[in-house]
Amino acid sequence: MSTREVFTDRLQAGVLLLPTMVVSLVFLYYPTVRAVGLSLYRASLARGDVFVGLENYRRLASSSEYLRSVLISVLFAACVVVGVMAVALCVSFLIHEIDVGKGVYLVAVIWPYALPPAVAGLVFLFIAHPNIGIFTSYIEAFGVDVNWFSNGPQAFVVVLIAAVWKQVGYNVIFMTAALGNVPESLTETAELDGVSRTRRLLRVYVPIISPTLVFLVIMNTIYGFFGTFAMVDLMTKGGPAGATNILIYDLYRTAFQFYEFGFASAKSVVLFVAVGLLMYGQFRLSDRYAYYGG
Amino acid sequence: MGGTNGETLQGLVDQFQSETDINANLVFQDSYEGVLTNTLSALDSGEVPDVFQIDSLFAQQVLDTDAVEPVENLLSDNYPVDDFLSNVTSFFTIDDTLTSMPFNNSNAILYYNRSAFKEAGLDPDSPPTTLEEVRSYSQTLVDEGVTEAGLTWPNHVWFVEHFYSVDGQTLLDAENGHAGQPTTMQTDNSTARSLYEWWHEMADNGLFSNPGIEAWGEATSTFLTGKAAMLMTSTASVTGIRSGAEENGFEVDNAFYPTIDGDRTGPVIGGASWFVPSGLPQERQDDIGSFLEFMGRPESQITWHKGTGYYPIRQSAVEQLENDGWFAENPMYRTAFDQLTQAESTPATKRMLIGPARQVQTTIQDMSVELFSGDVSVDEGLSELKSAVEDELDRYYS
Repeated sequence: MSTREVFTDRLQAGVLLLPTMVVSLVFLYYPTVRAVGLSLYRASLARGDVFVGLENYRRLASSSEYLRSVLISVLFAACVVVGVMAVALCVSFLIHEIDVGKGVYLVAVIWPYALPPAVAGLVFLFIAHPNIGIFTSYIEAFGVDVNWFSNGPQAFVVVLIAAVWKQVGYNVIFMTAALGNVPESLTETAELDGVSRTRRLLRVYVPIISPTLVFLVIMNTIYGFFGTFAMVDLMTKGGPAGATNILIYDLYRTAFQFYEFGFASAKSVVLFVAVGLLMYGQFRLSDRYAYYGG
Repeated sequence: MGGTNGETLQGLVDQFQSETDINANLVFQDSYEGVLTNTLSALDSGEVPDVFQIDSLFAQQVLDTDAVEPVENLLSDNYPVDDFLSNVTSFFTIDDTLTSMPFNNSNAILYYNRSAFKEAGLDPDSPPTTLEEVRSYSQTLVDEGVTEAGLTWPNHVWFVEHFYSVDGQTLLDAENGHAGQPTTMQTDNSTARSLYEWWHEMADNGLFSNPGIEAWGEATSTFLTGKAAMLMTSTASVTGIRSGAEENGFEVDNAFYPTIDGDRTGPVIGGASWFVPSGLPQERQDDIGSFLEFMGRPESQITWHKGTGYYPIRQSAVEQLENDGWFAENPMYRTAFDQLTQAESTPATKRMLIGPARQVQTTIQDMSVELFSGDVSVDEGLSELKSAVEDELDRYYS
């Protein structure tokens, strides 16, 4: 009997799998199939659906607005992944290195992660609001004109900072755990060999915790594409002038503000396929570079 | 409807229930957009409420479902529809039929901080009336160091609609959609050019404080906290702004919406109306009819007006308020109303009535940001705006 075969009774296995199967079918697979179907229609609420074939996809391919949204999303997700991981790695390393007050620092860093995205978005909005923000006047004292309701690049940066701030905690949890698992002997050897702190982090720790980092790259990518919706919605509504109009927000707007469900479905299918391909690529890369022992 | 306005509405509904023994249940949604989404999905699924309140901006979108009953069919034969202000009912009357029951109606006015005006050496009894005056007043206020900015208002399409209608210019062809399906936005005129050149100049010189897209609350707080000395917003905010100004220790007043260059046609109406789904049993229709008649009667209109600032929409309610001396004591409540009744009724003062209202609204608001922040030149921005609106209209009506 192989180790995998815990249940000899197919019926029993089936019953145990049923809840998961039902939830997946009803809330994941069925909507996916519906979305693919709907993307071939011109569908809007209470006005009847008209079959239009690939028209919605054609419209997407020829829309410069959509293309811009794609570029912004990719850039945004890339900045989120790099920003979050760079900050989280530094913070985790510092927490790993100090002896006193580890717990306090950990709690402080993880705190923003505990906020629901909508709350985080609102909090950040009122921290950085151009007119009534808490920190705005201090930042303006440095000669920066806080004007991200009108200035696109500024808005992009503000939403990016909010997104990074929110996600760092999640990364720190995993990174400190991974750093805690690095054998003490390695650290001692490195110290005896006179390896500097930064080199120890980058050359010794990072390769050893690479499986965790790969996992985080993937989670942060998903977060960058999908999880930052609430912040965009609450802070910039995709603006100004589309500067923060990431795909997931664009999709929401098409569906739930413009009621163009067919077109929105086409957008969601494209987003699904694109992020799926990206994941696949990341897994392939990680197989090559991550260190899984042995 | 929320806050004090929501409480006033609940009070009216309670009164209706105790007078008629008809059970009425008020369900609040977060925003006009929220009501629209829920109503359209309800119509789609067939599980509809008896009455729903829809922002006038989205009226056509609801009518396009072909699932609503003209309210005129529900009102009793002798109900005095003539007593309603014609400036208001004309928007809600389509093909000579009153399709929905106007209730909370408003227009946009200019609020200003009298104390700040005095401090800057401006006469608080003669507020600015044109774009140029608004600009020079703002400049003085900023130069004198009284406020950080001169003027603020939420970036909502309603204000662009106001500038157009005050200038007597329709925003869309086909009389803003009241005379057929429009195909384009009218940007090739002095209204659009003057508006956006001015807006850009105001933003460029730091005289306009941008609260953000559809940021009604932020605009009001920018004004109430004294960062800007002038605010353009709905008359429906008059109660809140009056008490807010008192809390912040300044004297507030309001005036007509500024004109582009001195010529004034009139404002567009704003606010919402009650719609009724079609196909309800006769008994329910009778009850709904009584409800609408109750909400439209002069006493209810007076309660509603005093509690909120939305203007009364029945002639007899207005007369009674006059006789009671209400307007004399509360001149700030009268501004929007005067602005409405002194207006000529032209195609320009009938707000746009189109199916893809949300798309066109978003397009105009987004493009306005690019225009006033100077990302594009006025000519370039206006032609981009025009073709983007054309695309939306074409897509919906094709």
